[in-house]
Amino acid sequence: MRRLLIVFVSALLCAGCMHSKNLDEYAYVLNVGVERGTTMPYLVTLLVSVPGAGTDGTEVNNVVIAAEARTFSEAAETLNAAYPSRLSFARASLLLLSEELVREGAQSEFLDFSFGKPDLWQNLRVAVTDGPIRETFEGWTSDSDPSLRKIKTSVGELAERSGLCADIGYSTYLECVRDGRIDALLAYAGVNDWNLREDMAGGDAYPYLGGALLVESTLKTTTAGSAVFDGARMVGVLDGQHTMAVLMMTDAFRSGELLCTLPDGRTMSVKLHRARRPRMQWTGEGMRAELYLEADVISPQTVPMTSEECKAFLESHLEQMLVRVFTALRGANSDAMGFGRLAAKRFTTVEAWEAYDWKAAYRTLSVTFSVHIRLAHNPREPILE
Amino acid sequence: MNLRIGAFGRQEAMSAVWICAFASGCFAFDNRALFWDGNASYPEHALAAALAALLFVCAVSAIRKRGGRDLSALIGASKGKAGIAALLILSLLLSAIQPQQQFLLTLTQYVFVDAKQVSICFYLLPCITLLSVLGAETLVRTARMLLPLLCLSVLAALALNCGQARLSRLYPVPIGKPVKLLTDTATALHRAFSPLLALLCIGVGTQNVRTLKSAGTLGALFGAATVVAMLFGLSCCFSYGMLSEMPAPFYRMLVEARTENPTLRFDRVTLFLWMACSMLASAIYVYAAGVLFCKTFGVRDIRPVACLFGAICAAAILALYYDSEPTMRVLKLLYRFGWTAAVVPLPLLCMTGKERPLCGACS
Repeated sequence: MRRLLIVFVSALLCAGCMHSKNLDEYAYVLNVGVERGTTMPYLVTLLVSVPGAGTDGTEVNNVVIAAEARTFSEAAETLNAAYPSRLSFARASLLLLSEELVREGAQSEFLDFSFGKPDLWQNLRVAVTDGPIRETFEGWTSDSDPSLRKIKTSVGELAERSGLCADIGYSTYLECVRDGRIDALLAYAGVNDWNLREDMAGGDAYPYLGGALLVESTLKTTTAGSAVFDGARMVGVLDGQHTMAVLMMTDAFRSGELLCTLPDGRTMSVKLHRARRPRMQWTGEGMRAELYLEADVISPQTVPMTSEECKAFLESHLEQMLVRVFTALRGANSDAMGFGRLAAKRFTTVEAWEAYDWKAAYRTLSVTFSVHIRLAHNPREPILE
Repeated sequence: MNLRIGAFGRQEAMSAVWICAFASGCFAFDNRALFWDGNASYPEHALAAALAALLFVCAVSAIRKRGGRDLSALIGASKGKAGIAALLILSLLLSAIQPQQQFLLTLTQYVFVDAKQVSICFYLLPCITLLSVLGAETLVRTARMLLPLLCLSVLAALALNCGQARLSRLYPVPIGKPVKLLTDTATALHRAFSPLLALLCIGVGTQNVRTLKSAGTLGALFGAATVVAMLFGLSCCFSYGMLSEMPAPFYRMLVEARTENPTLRFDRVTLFLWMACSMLASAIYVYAAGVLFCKTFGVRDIRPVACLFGAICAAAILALYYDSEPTMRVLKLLYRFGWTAAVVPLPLLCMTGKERPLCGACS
């Protein structure tokens, strides 16, 4: 009996893989781009890595392929039919949406499918580009980084290290669109054309924005700033400095460099670090938001202010910037700073919260910003002295 | 009698309860029901676990007063023992099915995306039957072995998700509907009490009733703490709206932590570890149901009964695949009201039956 059982179990385990396929029979999709099509509603562009397919002696060859379709699965099947290898989405890590598409909010219908079956992970990073997707992909790809892996990692690090760029995954984007407590802020990319873009909050003449950076490089695509959403619809762009202000409010900010103009016309550069979680609370008239930061003055070496004056100047500068950004966001009906999260705390049932029109209340919301800075280093009064 | 209970100590029994509590508590059968109307899963589970522990202590006291060592001492002395045993067996089998159904869903949705659920069933479900045939001692000692790995994986999963956790996702806390909170707590009571019910069935394997009581209480306490921590972590990572639509929320939590760093394959490794734990938990439930059946109806060999119950679980899971809608409706109904089958008979059993004087060996 025992021997029979062993034979039976061994037979089960010997079955191996069902419908096995060799790894080199797959072509791995690294990036997915979606934009408006000409004949069909959508043009889906994929950056595909084909192992062992290099014609110039390299082991990996990347190709950009595109197909027009009505749905994601139709695009995937069309491309599968046209491509010799089977496309696998298991390694996809970037979803790039064209600005034209997201300005209409038309991506929602396209992305409304179960992500499980095509094995397209929900922790894809999501970004918006102002140019054609194919050009954006090609502008990112270099010989040293054919898979864009390093570029994508460095964009993530840029967001964390400098706060000049938003960086969220598809899952968080989806949550922003569905839950309505906070609106999405996506990384903004573009093919550099030296034309300045308009920042919705105004401010500097030189907005630090993807596609508008004054750099010369063989890599044509740049990523900086953020695309601002109202629900599923893009309503504007914020440059790097203003993106930093929003990230500070949503507690996604870790450190970054703030540039401000001193009374004597010189530019002051200050390294800011998050000191504590921002605090938001209801007051009689609206909301009060408090930010806690640490600052190191980097340049100039001769700041014409004492530490106290410098601290007050920075606090005032940041408060003005926050008010400017908040006013622009509120005007565009975008709660990217996430005041809705505080509003939701007032409700004890889901029905009451869902029946409440938060966006209508947001249009008339007034917020008082209060910034608290601890000046860690002022070159005029160094700590060591 | 060939019940294959063997002998085991406090640590082994506690590990078995802990692992069963994790499998039953974390892998709920019906996520939509758990989260659609707001997210109060973690306080509900804490309350349910406290109630379950209280019920367990009462049951152990009643067993001790009757001079027995396990649940059969209570059932044997009661009227309508066949009906009561059938209810408890049904509750245990439901607990065995629940995590397997969730893992099959996870595997087909995220791991073996081209495979059909039925193909994966053939690899998973026979293992549960085989494990349950091996007996209590094998099962609880394996649980003792797996427990440190499970604790490590839970801690790692929570730590890796700290960065994306936001307390604001917990709101609105649905305290405005006390009736719903109570009904959800009752549903959670089934998940929290099943591990203790299984331990009560195989309690004769422990040295004495005192060991049984301490192992069960500690296992329930630590198991509940693990489940509440996981549910709280999950609630901080996803809003209730997202959770009610997710097929496998705990796996999604692991996937969210996956970035381009050394944790790249952490999600898969942890998934398979949790799957091993859930298979073990299902085997314990099937075995405990078998023991209860054998003791109540005088069957002298556990093996055919365990095979039969394993086959019933497999059939229920396959029915979910082949005849999805009606079977799912029945299982959801059972899941919603399963607590009545598991919990209601016990106080009645504790209150009825004659008390016997305490003897030294049983105290």
